[in-house]
Amino acid sequence: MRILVVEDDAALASYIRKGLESEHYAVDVALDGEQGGLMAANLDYDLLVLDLNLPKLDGISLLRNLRPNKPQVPVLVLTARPRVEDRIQALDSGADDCINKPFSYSELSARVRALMRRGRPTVESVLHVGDLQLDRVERKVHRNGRRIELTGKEFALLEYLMRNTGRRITRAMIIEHVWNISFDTTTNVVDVYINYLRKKVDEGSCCRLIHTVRGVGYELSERQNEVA
Amino acid sequence: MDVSPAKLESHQVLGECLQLTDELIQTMAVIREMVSVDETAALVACDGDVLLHSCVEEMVPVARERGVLIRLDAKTGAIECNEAMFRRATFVLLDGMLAVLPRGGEVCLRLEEQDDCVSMKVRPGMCDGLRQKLCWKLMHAAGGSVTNCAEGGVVVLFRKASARQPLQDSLMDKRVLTSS
Repeated sequence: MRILVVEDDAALASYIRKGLESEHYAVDVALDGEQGGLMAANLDYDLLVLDLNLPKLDGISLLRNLRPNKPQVPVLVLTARPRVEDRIQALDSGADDCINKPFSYSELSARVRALMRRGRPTVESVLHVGDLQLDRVERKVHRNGRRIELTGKEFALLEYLMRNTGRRITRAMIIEHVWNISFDTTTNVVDVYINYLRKKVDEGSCCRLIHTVRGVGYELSERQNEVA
Repeated sequence: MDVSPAKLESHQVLGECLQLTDELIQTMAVIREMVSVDETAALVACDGDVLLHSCVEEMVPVARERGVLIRLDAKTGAIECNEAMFRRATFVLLDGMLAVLPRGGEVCLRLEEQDDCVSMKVRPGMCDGLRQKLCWKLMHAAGGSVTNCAEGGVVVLFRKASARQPLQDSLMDKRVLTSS
């Protein structure tokens, strides 16, 4: 899942980014409103964390510019303004939730998860596909009761596939959402990681979950055969 | 079923056109990435050793698959760096190097202190081209200055973080790299 953090306080932005990255989100940071607005409008994010007091373009104007073209993307506003009116203005301008500074990282993380759930009703803290279970909070994966040990990248990749169960996912989508790079790689890094995941997730199980979709990419689903 | 030579030729031309279109789209994507690089990204004190280890670790499966050895020698303390840019730059760098190295080849990365700087020596370096330009631009945004190395490859110089500068909390574990 790809998140954009628009925050001009570099230390705070870095703190948020590190926390979210430790939860295996792909995170971009913009340090002013103009750059943040440009990135939010042109790139595909699953969530925005937006400060209101920003140089060049304030958070409210950024939200107002963004909403006509990106009505779906959840926006969590960070505000140091204590007045209720400011929070109301942010929500009325298109924010989905507000959090007051200073805040604890655990609260921010929980609000991010809540917004992700709200945006996509199928997304829960624990994802299930057949006998495969991924717990986002505990960072654990089990298949048919067997614990599967994954590296950080493998976990992020599996989570992305599970969040998009039954959908055909291209390599470009994977590289963008899991590696946070918006162009194709010169190596087969996605295929290599998919193979590693397959060995860990599918080997020894009666049915395969990770399927190759020829000419497209991959699909995680309970269907039996390779997808043509 | 016989296929006329004219039809075969038109299929071939169509295939070439599709390939060129693909390349053009890829080029545009790299240019878009270059344009979006934030060259004013804030530099903070980072543990260069931990950072480089974790970047390389992610590419070890690809290196193993391609039969390329990644040698990493990182013995340094804090550097002034933008971590996100460094990660992207290192990914583009290693991705580009691993793509062209033959089976049995080696990538060498050495991070060491040098006067008031920390140098990252990379061999054999990337092929010239747009991706190399993007990589150097990302390295620059990460706080590094790129120069060619006399023995081949490149050197990226980072400023040492001052002793008074608090080191960024790293949420990553310091892990031992197990390459190839």
